[in-house]
Amino acid sequence: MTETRSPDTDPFAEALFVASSLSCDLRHRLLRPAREADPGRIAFSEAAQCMADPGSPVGRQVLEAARRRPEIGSALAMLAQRFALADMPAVAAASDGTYAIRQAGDFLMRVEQSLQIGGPAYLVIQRAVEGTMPRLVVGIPEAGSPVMHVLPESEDGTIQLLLEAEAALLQLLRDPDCRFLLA
Amino acid sequence: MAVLDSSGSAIGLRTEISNELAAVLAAVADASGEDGGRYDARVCRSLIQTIAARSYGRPLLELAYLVAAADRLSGRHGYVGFFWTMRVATAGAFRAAALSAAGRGTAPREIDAATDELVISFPGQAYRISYSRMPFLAALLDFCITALGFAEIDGDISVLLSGPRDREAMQSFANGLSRRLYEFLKQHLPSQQYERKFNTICGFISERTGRRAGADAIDDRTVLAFWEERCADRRAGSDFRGFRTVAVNFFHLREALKTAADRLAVEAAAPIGPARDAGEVDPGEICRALEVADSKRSVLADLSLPPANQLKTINKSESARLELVVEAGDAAAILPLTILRAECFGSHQARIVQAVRRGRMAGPDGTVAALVAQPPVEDYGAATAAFQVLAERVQKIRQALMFILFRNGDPEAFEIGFDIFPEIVPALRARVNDPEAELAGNVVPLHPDREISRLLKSAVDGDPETLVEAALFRRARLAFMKVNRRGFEEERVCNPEIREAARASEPLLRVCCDDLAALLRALDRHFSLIPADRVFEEDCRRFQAALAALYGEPV
Repeated sequence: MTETRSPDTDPFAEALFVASSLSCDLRHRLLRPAREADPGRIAFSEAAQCMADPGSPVGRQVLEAARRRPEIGSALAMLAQRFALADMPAVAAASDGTYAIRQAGDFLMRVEQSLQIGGPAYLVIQRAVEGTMPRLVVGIPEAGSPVMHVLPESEDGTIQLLLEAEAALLQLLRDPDCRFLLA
Repeated sequence: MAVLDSSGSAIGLRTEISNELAAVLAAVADASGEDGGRYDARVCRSLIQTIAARSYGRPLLELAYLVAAADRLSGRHGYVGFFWTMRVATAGAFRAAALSAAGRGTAPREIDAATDELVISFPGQAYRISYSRMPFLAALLDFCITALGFAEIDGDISVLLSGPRDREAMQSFANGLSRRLYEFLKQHLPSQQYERKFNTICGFISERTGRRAGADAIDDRTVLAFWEERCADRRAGSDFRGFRTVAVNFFHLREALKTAADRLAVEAAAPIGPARDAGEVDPGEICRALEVADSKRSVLADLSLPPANQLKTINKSESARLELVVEAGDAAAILPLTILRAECFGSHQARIVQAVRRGRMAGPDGTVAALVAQPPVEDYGAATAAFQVLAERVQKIRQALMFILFRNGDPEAFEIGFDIFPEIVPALRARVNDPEAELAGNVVPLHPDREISRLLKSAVDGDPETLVEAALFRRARLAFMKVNRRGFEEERVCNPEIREAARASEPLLRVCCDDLAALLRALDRHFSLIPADRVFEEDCRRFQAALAALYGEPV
């Protein structure tokens, strides 16, 4: 039986046979339950959608995936730079452990402790001039995975977010080496 | 790298698609949009074809131009904003984005947002990209970034955007991305297995016929003889063990050989043909040929996707029964016994494979060998009858779709009627010219739309005893009432999404009907010469010998 190409085999026919077979395989593979091979995988377009509207169902789904998979978190953090309204670099950080302020352009971000010792804290974001308010805060530590939090909508230029004492975002806010993006 | 088995699909192909590639494609194909997917079925199919044919060279050049233009058009989010801040990737959405951006005072002069396309006048010749092409290009870029990583692709794009934006820069970007994709696909979508298969089958045909392998040399006897030889040959490995897989390989091979021969004939007839280097194949040409073949093969997938999936026209068992017929396409009329063998003995072989894999004793006396010795559960008479029943059921579903379209005043209803009941055409034509019709006596109606509207109205309101269109509507209504499936509820008949689903489903079901009819005609011809039970009896003997060679001894 001939195993190698006979000299008069049509290369077009071979290429089309290979392409047809692979296309058939791919089609049937995609008929299986969606994302069976890798349930946590998200398309890049969904990450971009998340940046445009983090509070949407797609946005929340992507942020949830980012919590489980560091590589998605890193890609989102990178993408967030493109959508960022404010970039608060690590070097500008000031922290005394209980009270932290970060500032970039029109934006001011600060943490205020509640009266309860060791209790929750408030993250307050203010914009000095009228304009678009961010919907996402991204903390990017020097090492480790980025942390993201959807922000509530605001109409008066101030956003207030209650964070549990042990919230990852709060820990990062107290880390002077952590960079923040508001997107 | 995972090797898939037959469990995922009745087609039962064994492929070496990696989980990574499958997951990336699934993520892009399932990407959420507004009340559904971000990309429509046609875009996803084009993406698959482009990847399968590795014909991304030209699309990547288009993408380079579009990315560079998008960066100029879009606001502060750059190309990412242009491609992905819209929820659904449609030609209309891209047109709106382009026109809106071009209308701003800061719009770049070198980009003109025309009615149907973007005209990009970077240094060199103007480059045009239609809005209808953009959803596919967006899906391609989505696939590239999802597969290769944002950091890598965005880095390449930054280089592109910071440079001179001439043809050379665009081509350089496209070549770079093409190389990255090639490397990715080499690892995740290897083609060597199919290249090997092509040469093995063509070699077999050449030996058998004494001439170059051609589509006309492929018949039912050749397929079975090939499989028997591979079963008997212990060197066969795993490439050709499953008869069903072999059947699909032959369907694809026949299609490829036929298309290649047609192409050569056209070239030979042309007074001045394009000069081709020996052995060089244009991937774009492969992709176009694949698009033609796949448009029919994808009908079951398309029925399961929006907008068609609002109506459950085909259930799971019907889909399984149709799968091979649809995959065969034109070959259903040429290889009817191969389809029947794959249906009956393919399922039988799948049970043997399961028993072998589990290592359990199977069959009445507890051995795999006993299972091999048994005949299949379904014989050719039963399988043919099942295909007949399925063909009738699909026709009934089409009549139910006709009812939905009638109720929505959609002229497409008559198209279904003409196809299923061609005998009504003369009577309906007479109705167009009857004395009650507007401007009766004209050879061609002066207002065809009005005539159709009148007929649609009288179909629903008229007397079925006297009016042919009303009789047609009554048949459609009766068929609809008997369909008890999702979407076929009378109270939902006039919902826009149900009408849209009916319009989308009808041409797909028509393909299924045509393929089934071709198969049944071919089987009828065959069994009128040799009865089905005699063919089955002989095949039982041959399959038993081949399966015993494969599984008779411990595997």
